[in-house]
Amino acid sequence: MLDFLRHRTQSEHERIVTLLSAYLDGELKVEEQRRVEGHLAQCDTCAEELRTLKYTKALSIEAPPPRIPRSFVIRRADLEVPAGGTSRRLLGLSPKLAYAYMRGATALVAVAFAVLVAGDLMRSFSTGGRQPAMAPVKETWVVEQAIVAEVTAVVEKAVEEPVVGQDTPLAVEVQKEVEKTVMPDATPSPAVRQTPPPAEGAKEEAVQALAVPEAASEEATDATGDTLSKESVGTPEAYRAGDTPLPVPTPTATPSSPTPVPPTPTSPPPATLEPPTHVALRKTKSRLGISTLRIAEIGLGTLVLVLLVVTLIFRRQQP
Amino acid sequence: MEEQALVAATQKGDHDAFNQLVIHYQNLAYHVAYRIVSDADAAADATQDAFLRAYRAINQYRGGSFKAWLLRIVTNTCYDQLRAKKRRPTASLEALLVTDPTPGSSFVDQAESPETYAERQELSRIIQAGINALPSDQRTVLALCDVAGMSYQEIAEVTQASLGTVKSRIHRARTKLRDYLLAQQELLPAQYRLRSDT
Repeated sequence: MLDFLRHRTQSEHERIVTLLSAYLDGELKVEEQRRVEGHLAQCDTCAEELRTLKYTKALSIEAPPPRIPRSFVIRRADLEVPAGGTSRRLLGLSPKLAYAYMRGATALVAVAFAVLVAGDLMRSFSTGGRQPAMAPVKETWVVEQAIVAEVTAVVEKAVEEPVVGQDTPLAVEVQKEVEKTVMPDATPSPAVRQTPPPAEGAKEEAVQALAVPEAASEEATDATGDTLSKESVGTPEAYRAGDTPLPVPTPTATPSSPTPVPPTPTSPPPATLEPPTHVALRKTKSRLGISTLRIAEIGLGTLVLVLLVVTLIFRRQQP
Repeated sequence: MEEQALVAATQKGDHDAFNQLVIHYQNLAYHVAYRIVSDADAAADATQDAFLRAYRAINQYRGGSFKAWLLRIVTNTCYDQLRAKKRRPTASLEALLVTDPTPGSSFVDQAESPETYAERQELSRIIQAGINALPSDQRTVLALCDVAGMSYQEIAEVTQASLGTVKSRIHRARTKLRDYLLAQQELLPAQYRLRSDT
């Protein structure tokens, strides 16, 4: 019972102590004020506490305030200087606002950069390092078709002016290889056999025509027969429609050697023709796909760095 | 002209009307600023900056106590000063050279004796040292209460805190300052010491 009363008394004492400053400042409600006064009449500790607080307040008010060093009247010239003293406006904004905007912009670009890099990495892992084509394959194929048409026209022109009695072993062998590759199941037609083989001049022209186009020139300069044969242009349909032997460059054929090299029994057979879409796909990858993604990553990364530097500069401009 | 009329005139672009308000409030604004930032030069800069901010933002004033609105700008400017000082702490060359750092020491009231003046300056120095030991939020409420003489409700509006928070902050600030002053009794001038019989 006594403990309960003591506890109640102690709680009341602590509550009153916290109200003493407000009591001193006259900020208590009438009921609270009466309660404090009633407690102060009984509690010497609280009375002493109030006395020291009153003394502190008196000294705080009594302490002489510093004299103002100058008049703070605003001149018209002061209004031309932005608030904040020496701090200048940044991008037409207050330094605080400009800093906030720059922080937001930097964060956004950094997130975009991180997403791009993460996406690139995930795609690399998912495709096992093989990059899918990023550029439109169809457009590249159209360009290839134009080159093929031009070469075919030149070859056909040469074929239409045959030289009788010059059925060279090269022409016959090339014809057989083409038929074997393009139409493996078809038997050689008599028309093909009766067709006179192209003349030496025609073959030479065809070889040069093949070597000149830009698409083939890069690979041809490698001077590897395999590469040249893989880069051979034309579709199976083109070969079927023409039914003419297309001169296939030999491994030693280069644009700078006008004289065709006669075939030898040991010369390797030309490689099989790949569908032209694969050629276009590979070129697109190497020229457009990877570089576009890398350029985007490098650009965003550079932008993040620039924004970070500008943000730090803005931070230093803060008043 | 009444205060609200001066404010209305300022809102219409009357620059001189605002300067009348500046003249009326500049002592109070500077004293509050000095209590918060505890440095004469910084307080002067904060006060000037606060008046400029108030002039530019006068159209945002929507009535009520102009004094509370102005002192809110003053306290916010002081907080900006404190933050900037915390980021870039600098030692003033003048502070190292001046032997008497008491603010306003060059302005001696001719009516009081040199002894009284010295005692009051000593009291001011000790009080300010005790206030410096308080956190900035307690310093602010104590300055607004003791220097500006504002009610708890006005202080709550200025600091944008609840009435209960203001009440407890003032009590804690005053208790800490009391403890500091009691510990410094010997340093206080005799007339300002706490006597046991009173």
